[in-house]
Amino acid sequence: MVGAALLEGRGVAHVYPGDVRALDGVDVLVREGELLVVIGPNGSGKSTLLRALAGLLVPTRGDVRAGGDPVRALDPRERARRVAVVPQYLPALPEVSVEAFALGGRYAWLRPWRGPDARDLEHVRAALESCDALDLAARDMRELSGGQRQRVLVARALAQEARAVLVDEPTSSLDPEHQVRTFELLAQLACDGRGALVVTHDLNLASQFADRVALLDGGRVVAEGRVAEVLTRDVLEPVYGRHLHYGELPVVGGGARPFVLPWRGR
Amino acid sequence: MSRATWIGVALAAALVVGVPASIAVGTADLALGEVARGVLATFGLGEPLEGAAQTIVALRTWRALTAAAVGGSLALSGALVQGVFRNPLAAPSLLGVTGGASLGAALAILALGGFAPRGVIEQAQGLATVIVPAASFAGALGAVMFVAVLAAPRGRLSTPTLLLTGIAVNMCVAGIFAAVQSLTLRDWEVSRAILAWTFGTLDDRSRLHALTAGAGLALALGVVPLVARELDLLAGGEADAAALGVDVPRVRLTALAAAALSAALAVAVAGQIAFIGLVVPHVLRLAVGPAHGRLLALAPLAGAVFLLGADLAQRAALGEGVLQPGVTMSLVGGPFFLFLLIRHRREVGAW
Repeated sequence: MVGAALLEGRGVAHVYPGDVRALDGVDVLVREGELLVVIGPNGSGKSTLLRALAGLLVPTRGDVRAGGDPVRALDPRERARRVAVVPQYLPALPEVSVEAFALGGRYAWLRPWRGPDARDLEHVRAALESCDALDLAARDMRELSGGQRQRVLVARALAQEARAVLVDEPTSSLDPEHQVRTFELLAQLACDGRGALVVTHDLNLASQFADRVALLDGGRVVAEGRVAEVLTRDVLEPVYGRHLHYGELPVVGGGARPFVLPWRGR
Repeated sequence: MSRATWIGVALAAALVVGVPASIAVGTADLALGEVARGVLATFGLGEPLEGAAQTIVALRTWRALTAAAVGGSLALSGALVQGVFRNPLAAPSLLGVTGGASLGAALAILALGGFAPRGVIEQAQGLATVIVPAASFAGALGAVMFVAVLAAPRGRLSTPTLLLTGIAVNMCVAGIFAAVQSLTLRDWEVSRAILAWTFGTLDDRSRLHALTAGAGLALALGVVPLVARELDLLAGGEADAAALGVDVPRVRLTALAAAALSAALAVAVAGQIAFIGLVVPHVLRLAVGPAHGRLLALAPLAGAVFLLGADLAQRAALGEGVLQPGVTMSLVGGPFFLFLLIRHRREVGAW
């Protein structure tokens, strides 16, 4: 069931220094029980939108609300209890164990002057378990492969227990099996009373798992709706060009969903 | 017990042994019984020793306590600054602390050395050991605030801007300092006093000096619980820490302000003492890893033991008043740091 608005952006526009217009008036809604997938070509404003929604960037114009309150006015911890972010990668890898790293997700819930307790550890282990990363718990973050790191990043966000989860390209370093499993996990998360916004280039994972798709181009939402409404040649070709092959395949649970392949030739 | 706990216990024990040893050793060696009685008397808890012995014990007590507090402050503020900048080469001096302190001290020495109106100088007679530290503290604080205001005009602190501004302000301050030195070259007493200050000194330290350095240390220790976990999370980058709920600007400001204040007080009290702020956090990181909870708890202990030990060793080996601890630190610290870098090339690179 799709429910209340967990995170809402209205008329979000952002211009970077040097007059680089990244977002040009975007409305976006992350709802309880829904997996929203944002697609779009490079430079279409996906990452800027994600950062603005997370409260990590003050947009030039527009309003972002988490649970009804302006996200920039929230105390950082309260904001982190409402909105979690799964970055695509980290600029620097801390020299800590996977478990200690994932415990970072509990920071917003720690009481002042108190460290993580047994319950926090339980949350972290459950999150690692659901991301197929529990066996990595004692490993050093810097020893992991790119894909393992990406799973740990998802686990840390789960441990954060925020109801809105923003995910940046979660499958960019994953093997095909873990790509599907990660999206299954994100879809599951949406079923558990949370809502997720996932930015991805993978149109086919979007097709299989999204409840709703928004197509971003040039800082605007040029199409938004159910998968069958957005992942069509009419909508995608003006944005992605002609090197795409379109088709349809059956999916688990009956029915069919579109697939799109980067494929030259006719 | 974990490795960090062992190291903490060992450092605490070294401190407990080091303070009385430092009081006992010197031109006139004292027995431990005399030291104990003399120290108690210094704090007003017993009969003073006979003759000059009591004065010697009191002087050395304040010297030892000042050394411990200054060493602890410098090491802790170094660890804080390195944590904020996520850079093992950062030190409080980058923020202008050392340069500003030197300039403040030089100007005070200049004024007291004959460049202030005669009446002022007469009034200030005998207060030089208070006025020079006060001026150097003011200089350090002034330089840091100048750096902070220039680097963060609207309260938002950008790390590269802060580092570059720090370097630029340090250059300006060093220029003025050099000008003061060059203008006083003919007045050898003044120029000698300025030069001596830059070597750092623990001679003739009083209760006031020990308390001042102790207050700086206490202040920096007070912020440790507010920033330790947060500095750990900052290791993954600013945006990531903010997304986890860390108030990044507040953490940075708290840690840097505490580091700057305690380093400024330490430098004001003992002059320039190099390398502790850089080397001690470094060695600790190699020993106990990068987690700031452990690092920030052990740094003050290690810094205190380091400076106290260096001062003790130098007085035992060379006699009193031969070398100043700032010089010893530079002589020992530089090669030691090089040795560490060469030995741990890989770990140091993988900060």
